[in-house]
Amino acid sequence: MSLSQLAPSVLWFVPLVLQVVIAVVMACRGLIRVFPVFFIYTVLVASRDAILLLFPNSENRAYSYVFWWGDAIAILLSLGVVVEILQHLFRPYASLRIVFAAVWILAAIAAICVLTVLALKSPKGVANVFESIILVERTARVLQVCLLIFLISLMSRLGLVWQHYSVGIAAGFGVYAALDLVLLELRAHLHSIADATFVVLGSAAYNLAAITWAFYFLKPRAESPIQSLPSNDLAKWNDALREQVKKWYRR
Amino acid sequence: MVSTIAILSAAGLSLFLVWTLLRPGLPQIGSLEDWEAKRHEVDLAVLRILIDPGEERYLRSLFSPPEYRRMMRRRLTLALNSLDLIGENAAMLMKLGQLAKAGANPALAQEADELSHGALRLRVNLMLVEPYLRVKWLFPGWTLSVPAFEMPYEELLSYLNRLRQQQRWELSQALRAG
Repeated sequence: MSLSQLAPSVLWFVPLVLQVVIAVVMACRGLIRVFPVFFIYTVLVASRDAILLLFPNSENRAYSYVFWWGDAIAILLSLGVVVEILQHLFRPYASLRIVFAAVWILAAIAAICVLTVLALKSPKGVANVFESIILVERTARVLQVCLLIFLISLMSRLGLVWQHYSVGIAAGFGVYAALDLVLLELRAHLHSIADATFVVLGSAAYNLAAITWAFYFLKPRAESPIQSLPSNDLAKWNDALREQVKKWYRR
Repeated sequence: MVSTIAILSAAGLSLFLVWTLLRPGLPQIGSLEDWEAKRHEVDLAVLRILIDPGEERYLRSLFSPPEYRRMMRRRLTLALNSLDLIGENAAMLMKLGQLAKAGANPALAQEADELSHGALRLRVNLMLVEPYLRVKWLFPGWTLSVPAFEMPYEELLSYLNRLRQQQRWELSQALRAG
């Protein structure tokens, strides 16, 4: 078997295996309740890929149904995962939820504006169903990338990078959505890559995402809770700050 | 063409943000010993002087406009560095809050919640102050005042002290009980 034949198979099997393992680890660690949408996404994509293996060839009509319907549901779920991470991150901070809800709504409005512009700018009278599907997928990916940009910016700026699993999920989707969007743009809009190349590179991008998720979910967590607190000079620091605050408000 | 540029820019920004999320930016912290070793000393008196509008007015009267701009940029660079360090301290305290919450002590978990909450509020304030200072770095002659950000930081530190006092009280109770 040549490398060109082997590569698509490897790119197909690696995420399938990794996602099955991630689903099992999530079940064992009780993470299904924490990230239910991500769990459903993981199970769905792995199941779809496993079912597709049963088909002898990809020309089959049933194969197309399973592939494209699975893809559509996966995209919807991946949008849901972004919302899930956001809710998970800010659940402990009740007073900040209103602020983030407002920012979230603004981000959604901005994303809808971008989508509207894209819809108006998209080429009319596309040649076949495949092209249409790619254009719809491209639009959904734009929305996902907008949401991820917002989410990851917030995580970085607010120092929420300690949230182990959330970081892994967001990073995986961030890589995949961005690379897939570039590929969709190159394929659907610029027509600068062939279908076969598009499929292989898309699989490679998904492999990167699956490896990122696997790294975060399979890595052992060696952290232990704090049992005691050491002495420090924070009281002095606190006094200095209080003094500055008083000065500030007097002025 | 415009939509292609917008899409490729969004994809590039997303990849860049993932990189910023994954790179080892904050010190690894798994215990209070780590906090003691890795926390940053920030001289708040110096920081306050660096962003004090009165000091700005004094410098403006003292130097020529080009010298004033140069001086202000140096001061603002120092102030931004200090804010970065405060931000890192807050992020490390959030991590400590998480670790404390993972224990079995409900009182400690509640204090840890307060600590995390205070640290997050500080980070929100930093999100407001830092862009202001960056704009000010670009236009040193701008005369808007800096929003007060010290109060949440003060609250944050008092949370940590209360957390420590709670631990000490529990330790002394345990020692008395034998």
